[in-house]
Amino acid sequence: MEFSGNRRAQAVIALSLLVPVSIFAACLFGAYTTDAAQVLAVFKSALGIGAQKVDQALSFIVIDLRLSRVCLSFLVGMSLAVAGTVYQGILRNPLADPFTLGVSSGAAFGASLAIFSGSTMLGSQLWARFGNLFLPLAALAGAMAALGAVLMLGRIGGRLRRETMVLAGIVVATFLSALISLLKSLDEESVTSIVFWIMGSFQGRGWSHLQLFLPYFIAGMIPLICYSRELDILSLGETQARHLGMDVSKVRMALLIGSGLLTGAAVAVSGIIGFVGLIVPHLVRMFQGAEHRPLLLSSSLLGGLLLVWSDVIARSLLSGGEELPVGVVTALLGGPFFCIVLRSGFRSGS
Amino acid sequence: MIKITDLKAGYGGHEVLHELNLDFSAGSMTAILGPNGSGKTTLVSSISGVLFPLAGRIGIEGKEVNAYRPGELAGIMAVLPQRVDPAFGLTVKSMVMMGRYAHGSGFFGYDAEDEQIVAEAIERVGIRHLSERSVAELSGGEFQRVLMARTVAQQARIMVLDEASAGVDVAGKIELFDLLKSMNREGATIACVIHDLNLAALYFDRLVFLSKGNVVLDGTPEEVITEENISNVYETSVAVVEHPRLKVPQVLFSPAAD
Repeated sequence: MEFSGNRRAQAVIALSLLVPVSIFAACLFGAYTTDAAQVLAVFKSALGIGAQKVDQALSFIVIDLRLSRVCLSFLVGMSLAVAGTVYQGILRNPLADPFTLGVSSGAAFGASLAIFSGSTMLGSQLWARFGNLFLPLAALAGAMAALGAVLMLGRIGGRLRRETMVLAGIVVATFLSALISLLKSLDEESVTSIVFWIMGSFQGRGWSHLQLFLPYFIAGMIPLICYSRELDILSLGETQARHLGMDVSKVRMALLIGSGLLTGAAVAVSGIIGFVGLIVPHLVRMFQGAEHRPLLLSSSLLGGLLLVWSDVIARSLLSGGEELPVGVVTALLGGPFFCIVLRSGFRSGS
Repeated sequence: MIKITDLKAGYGGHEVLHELNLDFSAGSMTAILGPNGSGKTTLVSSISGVLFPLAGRIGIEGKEVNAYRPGELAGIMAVLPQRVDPAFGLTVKSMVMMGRYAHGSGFFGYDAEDEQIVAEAIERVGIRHLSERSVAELSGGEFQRVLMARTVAQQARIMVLDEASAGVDVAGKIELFDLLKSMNREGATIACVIHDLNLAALYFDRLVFLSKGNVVLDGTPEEVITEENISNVYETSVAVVEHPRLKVPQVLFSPAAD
């Protein structure tokens, strides 16, 4: 198969056009019924176009409840897809995803600890101090601690090796899962909250979560943008990369920290959402080839779109304002879809 | 150019090369030969700086190989390894473009000059018809040419190749070695691991034979390719004849059954 520059440009243009359309369309869905004209009017008034007066309650629903959530899910989808692409490239393994190196377990442990601590003195003070941001902050701290542990364990003789990194990731993830189980068995009451949080959801997330997320998103994206070219070379293996003149340890560390920040922040605000980071890079690779710079760009857009629409399904599938965890939606969509793609696409060499 | 002094090298405490001494002078074209397991690839890994020596020194243009910054070394020396295993189907053009990585360029990657050099390298190796193809779909021989094009694009003064022609058919081998020879004439210092004694005799000025981690033969094809030498190194009986037109020694093998 030939992947010309044309194909890449087409993909980016098509996806870029879908982004504003989807963000607008996703704001139409929710427990409270709105039509396109109403939502358009709210958008116009928020942007200061037109003199139309809109209902305060409607504006609150569309902008503060829905738009914030749509924007957050878009950025989280971007982060997961980009982090998945990076992990697959660094680990040279198409089955890697943002959660391969134990970052998600770290975040889950942080969150579980926060939920568990609600019944203690210190915990309740912290809950009172940070409010609904205490949970994501604890998850973020857990994610970063896990990433740090994996990077430290994976460094043998001053060099970060692929095999030891994966092993360190498995060890850290398994250990943390055991700790989470321990917390669950210590406190029966928190089991439901922990399980629900781990499944991943955007329910009740808003601008404050976006505000917490954004700095990590930006800080995580910078090294990935700077070293996207290096990912192509790293996918040939460490020895090759050194032959071609790359400072492998430095580049790999920067990429891991960048994608770790993205994953950690994503898990912190939304819980563990599977499949996006695994399937999006595959799909894009099949369509436009494996060059990482265009791959990262298209993956980020597709990942964002996928999660925006998965979240729409999660909040509108059940009647009566009940929500599905969005992680359930991505897994239900992703599993079967991935099987089809695997069967039809792997022969064409992606 | 490359000066190896008392080199001991190996993996995990197992010593493969024992106190090796070798010099590759500027502009030379040397073949490295020897039976399987004689230490050829270990030597290439040591020279290229990816395998840290157990003892001894490896000087590249007067400076210890491990004292170079990675990018600096790749600007001087191109390495074509025995096995490259791309995890994803990158295009041929991107693979060749990687040769330009060490030549450092701006944030936006490769510039017009790099594009030009890569196009020329692709042309020179004769793979222009493949340039937009995914490397995952190439045959072994085609892929080897891609690596060769990448090495050409790297524009290094020293080229170290580990079985550059593995998997390439006879005509392709001749093309590859013709290309190496012309690059050598343009000034490149070349050291190449090769299994084919006859091609080595045809193309290289100097043949170095390794056996059990030591240099056992070192000289021009006429000096080292004798029935006695080759039979000893490879522990198999051979006949040596003269090439009817080129007057270089060529080796003939006979099956054990005879």
